[in-house]
Amino acid sequence: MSKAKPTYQDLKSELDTVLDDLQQDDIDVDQTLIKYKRGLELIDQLSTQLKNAQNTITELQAKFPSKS
Amino acid sequence: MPESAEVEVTVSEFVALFNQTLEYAYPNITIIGELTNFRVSKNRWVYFDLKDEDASIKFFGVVYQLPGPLEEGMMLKVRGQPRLHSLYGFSVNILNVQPAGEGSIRKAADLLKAKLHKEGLFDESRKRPLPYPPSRIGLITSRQSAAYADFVKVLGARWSGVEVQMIDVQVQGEVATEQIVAALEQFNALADPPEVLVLIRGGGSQEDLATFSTEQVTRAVAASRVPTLVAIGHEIDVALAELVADRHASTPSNAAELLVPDRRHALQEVNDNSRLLSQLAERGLRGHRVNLDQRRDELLQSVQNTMQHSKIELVNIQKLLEALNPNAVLRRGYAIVRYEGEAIRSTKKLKPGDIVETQLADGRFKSEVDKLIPEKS
Repeated sequence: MSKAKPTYQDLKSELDTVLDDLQQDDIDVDQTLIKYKRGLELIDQLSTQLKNAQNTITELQAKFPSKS
Repeated sequence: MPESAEVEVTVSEFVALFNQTLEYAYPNITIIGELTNFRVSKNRWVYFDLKDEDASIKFFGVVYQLPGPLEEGMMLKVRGQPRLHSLYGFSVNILNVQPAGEGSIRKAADLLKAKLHKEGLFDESRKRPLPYPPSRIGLITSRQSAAYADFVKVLGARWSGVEVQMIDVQVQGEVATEQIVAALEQFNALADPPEVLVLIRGGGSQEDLATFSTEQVTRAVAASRVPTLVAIGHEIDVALAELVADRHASTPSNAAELLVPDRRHALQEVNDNSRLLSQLAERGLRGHRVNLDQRRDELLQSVQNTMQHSKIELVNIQKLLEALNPNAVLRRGYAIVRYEGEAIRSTKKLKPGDIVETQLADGRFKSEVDKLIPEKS
């Protein structure tokens, strides 16, 4: 049973949490590395989603061109 | 027997014999003269004399035989049967009365016109619109006439699919009036009459056209419950039948032109209308389209704004994350010291002889703790 693909908002929320964690004073080095890696993964996914969204916008513009 | 050949008869016998002789000699005769002593009795019987410089004759008839109002001094052409009446003497029994000569014809027409005008027969309010184009026409004219040929030709050239029902009548002469009135009545009596009645004839002398200004024809046109179009081809005067008709035309061809549109013009009109409709629709839509275009732009702008915002946000986060990258700290000269696999933050966790692992930016090394030197705070 696979989970539904996370939305941009889901990923963004998780990234916010990661950033918050990273900025805690008492976070240890190993946690920092893990969180850092997770942050990078999240940013990559978010970038992909943004790129897809931009492509979709371009496609929609071509499919529904301005009639004037 | 006396030798005398003289015939002796009674008065009554003489009247009968005389009338017999007259009837044989003059079954009917047309007499022209000036009207005088005109009088109408009981709205039914008509008496008048016709005279010239030297003689005068009495006439007797009924009102409906008159072409319209008459006036003393008019020249009349009267057809009748000469008779000797047993009590009232000699007179001519009227069969037909017509004004004679241009002056009298006009005078008679003016008198009738004034009379009918007073009755309101020429009022504009009586005029009914003609169906345009009609699907069925009742045509009254002479089939041999040029008027008929012109009318049918122009009608066919302009429009098709109009059914023409025709009653062939004489359009001049004594019987014309009677036939035209009968034709009008016949069409009106139909259970399913034509949509319009058309009475036409070509040009002619005033006398030829007199039928169309008689009281009988004029009233029959006025009384028609089917709308009427009358066209008598002459240029100067308008016949009274034309004045009472719902519509009148200058010539038979013109009548056809008034009745139906020219299919080429009609087609042109349809095209023009269709073009106009498109233009109006286009104009109406343009406003909405401009509006939609604006909305479309707004929509796109809004989406692009969100995208842009998200991208910038992501870049900022990336920078922040980079600043928190522990490797970046290592590259600046810091080190991570682990004891038994766990990063340590305090010397208190160590004692001399412990083996620790130190991580630098480009690798690790192991070492033994020699001496602990707590930092004085």
